[in-house]
Amino acid sequence: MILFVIQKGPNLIEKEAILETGKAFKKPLEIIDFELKDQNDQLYTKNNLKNKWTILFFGYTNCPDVCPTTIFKLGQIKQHINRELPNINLQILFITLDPERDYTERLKEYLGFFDSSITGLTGDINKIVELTSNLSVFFQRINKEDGYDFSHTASIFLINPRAQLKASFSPASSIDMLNEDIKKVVKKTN
Amino acid sequence: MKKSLVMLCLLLSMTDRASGNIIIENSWVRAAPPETKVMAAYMTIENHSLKAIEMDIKKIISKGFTKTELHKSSHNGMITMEKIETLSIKPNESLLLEPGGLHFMLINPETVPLKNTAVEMLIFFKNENETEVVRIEAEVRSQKL
Repeated sequence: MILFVIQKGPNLIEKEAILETGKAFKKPLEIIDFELKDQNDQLYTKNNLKNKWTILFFGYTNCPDVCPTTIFKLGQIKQHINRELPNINLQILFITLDPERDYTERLKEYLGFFDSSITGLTGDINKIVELTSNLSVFFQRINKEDGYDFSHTASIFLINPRAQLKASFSPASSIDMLNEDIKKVVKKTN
Repeated sequence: MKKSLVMLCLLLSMTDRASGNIIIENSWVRAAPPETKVMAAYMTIENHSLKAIEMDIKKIISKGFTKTELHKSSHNGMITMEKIETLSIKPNESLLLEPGGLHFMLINPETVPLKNTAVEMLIFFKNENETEVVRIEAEVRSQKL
């Protein structure tokens, strides 16, 4: 069993408005510099987070239940937010916790099947761990007799156009509640 | 030795049907890309008998897959997936297998079934004296309708 641990995170950040589905931060957390590859094998860095709002979640493509459910949910949310707030340029970002199996071609196939408008990122595991540590995301590989799964932090993150973590949400929340909370945070910030 | 009563309900249509005391409805398998190694199946299982009935998980068969397991996803700050070894349904109660919760894991498909096809499953239940087998054809689709 391999264990990746939390190093630091936004736990000391002052909270902003109380949300139904998560928490917003009055003082957003700066995302660290990072370099990963998207599903088209193009370099993706912190700069790609700037000048747009981003919903980010972590997962892995061998996850048959929660990850496709979250992708479906976020696709619905993206459609709603883009209708209601067409100027915010919302993107959805999926970062794999399993780069060993989720190479770029696999991400392309997976996201192309579920929602090709989502950007998927993979790369060096150490770089992914740096990013998960930055965001207080915990993940643990669970070995099984015929492979492995992951347990991981459930949060969906909202990153502002300055590439700062602005809010986090529970993926178990309903699409309607997430829509309302995301709009609340964006409107308060813009 | 008690003689087991086996009731096998062979169904001809794509929709779910009852077999004895157990009714399975709204079964579906989430469609997945061609290289997928595991898929998830969801459904509602109702126990209409006057006795608790146990799912015989190890016997469950999903045609075209090497193995079927029962798993439960949980979201307590962490997303975790736990393999369920035993499960009982109380009399006149139903069990919901749904995204983000209980689900069957269909492991290692010979070929990944396409959308709008169906996966044949044999789901086994037992109590003191009886074994009941329900055959379903779970439709492969993108998301619950």
